Amino acid sequence: MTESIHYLTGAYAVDAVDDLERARFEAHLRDCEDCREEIASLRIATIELGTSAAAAPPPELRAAVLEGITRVRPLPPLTAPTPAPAPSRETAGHPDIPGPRRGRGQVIELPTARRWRFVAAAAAVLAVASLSWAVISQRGASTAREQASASISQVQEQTAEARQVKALLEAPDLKMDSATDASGVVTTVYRSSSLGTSAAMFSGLPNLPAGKQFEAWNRDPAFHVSPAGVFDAQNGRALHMLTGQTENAEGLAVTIEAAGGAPGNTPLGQLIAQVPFTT
Amino acid sequence: MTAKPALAPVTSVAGAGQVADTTEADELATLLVRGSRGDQTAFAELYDRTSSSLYGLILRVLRDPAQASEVTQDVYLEIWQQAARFDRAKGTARSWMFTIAHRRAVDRVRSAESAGARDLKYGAKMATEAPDVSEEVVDNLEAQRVRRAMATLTDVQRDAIELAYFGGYTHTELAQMLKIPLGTAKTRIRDGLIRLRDALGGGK
Repeated sequence: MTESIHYLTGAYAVDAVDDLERARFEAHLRDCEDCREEIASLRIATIELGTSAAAAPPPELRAAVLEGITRVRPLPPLTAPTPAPAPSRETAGHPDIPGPRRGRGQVIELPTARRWRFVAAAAAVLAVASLSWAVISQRGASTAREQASASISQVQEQTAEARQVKALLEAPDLKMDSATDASGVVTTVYRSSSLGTSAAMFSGLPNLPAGKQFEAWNRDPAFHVSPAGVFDAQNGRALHMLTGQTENAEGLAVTIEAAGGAPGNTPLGQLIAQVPFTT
Repeated sequence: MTAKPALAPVTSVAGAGQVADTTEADELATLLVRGSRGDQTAFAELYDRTSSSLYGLILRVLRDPAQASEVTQDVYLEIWQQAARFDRAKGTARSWMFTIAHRRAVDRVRSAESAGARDLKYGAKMATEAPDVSEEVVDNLEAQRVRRAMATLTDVQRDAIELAYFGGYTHTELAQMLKIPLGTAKTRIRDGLIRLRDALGGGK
């Protein structure tokens, strides 16, 4: 334990840390009982501080919450670690919370602005994996309840994918590239050579006409493209594990194609997003 | 899931602060456990007993009643869904719920910021809605007690804590805003919280 990390207890207790710091500090917490104790005691103060802001919620919120829970099945307890253990959640000895798992700390030293985008995007992907869309900005989105139930059903269908995403985000050699297209589609690609997997997260995707799907394309160094899988979006958002020739890809593109993918494995439809890999 | 009872000092601090806490903590924990088994009535009671605290905190961070409602609803759905993962050994039910609520509020305010929307919204809401918010605040004894405790902090500690906890700023952002060295922001928050904790613990 170094002094400097120990002093982070206060900032951690009030969430005044970014995602990388949180991940690092939670790793530290597993081994530092002093810090765990201190955080627990500081949290008592923060709860009182928070309570001092108490305000009556709008009356209709109660009905919305109680209606919402009828659509959501409570998760079973976390007992023994599952095959793909999530160390920080199970073992952090403090009032840990569920929800977005964070990107590991030992990623790459990015300039501040890029790093922020990285952690924000990583948090967003993790949110998908752990059932909460709430952290993603809600532009143009429908009600929170709809999002919650949509994301939950989506994740239930895609637990295998969620596991892959979690593993990917914990990879020590995780790389990230992000781009915003003129149309407002925000794309972030995560890659790990050691796992040989990559995933793309999208927001701001347009609505699709019937019979269409999004198709992702790997772009190789010679600017040839090959299919990286088709996917749909919910509320303009999607998370897609990339398939095909991802190893030597130098960029990703997304087009709108016939459902099931473009015939002849050639992109024909409208190009809606592209990301060059710079890392 | 180590249930290492490293939290002994906590209980004593809480005990000094609020006598009724143990009962309340037990009751909320029981409601949460019942909720984890699908008991909607228990969850409704849990909502009734905690919603003004959680909503108020979220509103204070987000400053926008519509967004605060949305996030509060998400938070309760998450609490409902994750209730089985609450672990009494690690802290009280209230602490667990507050931690979720605060983190979600901060996540939202930061994602709004990264989407470039915060400055505009923030400025507009500050001008138009801040008075409404303060009118809504339940001005209870607890709030007075916290205000008294906050008054024992130095000005710079108080600013640091308010910007971090209610403003949702990271200590790094804080250092930039206040033009102080990185490590200083971190220690200000910590020193301030320790003093606040002690003032609250000994205040009653």
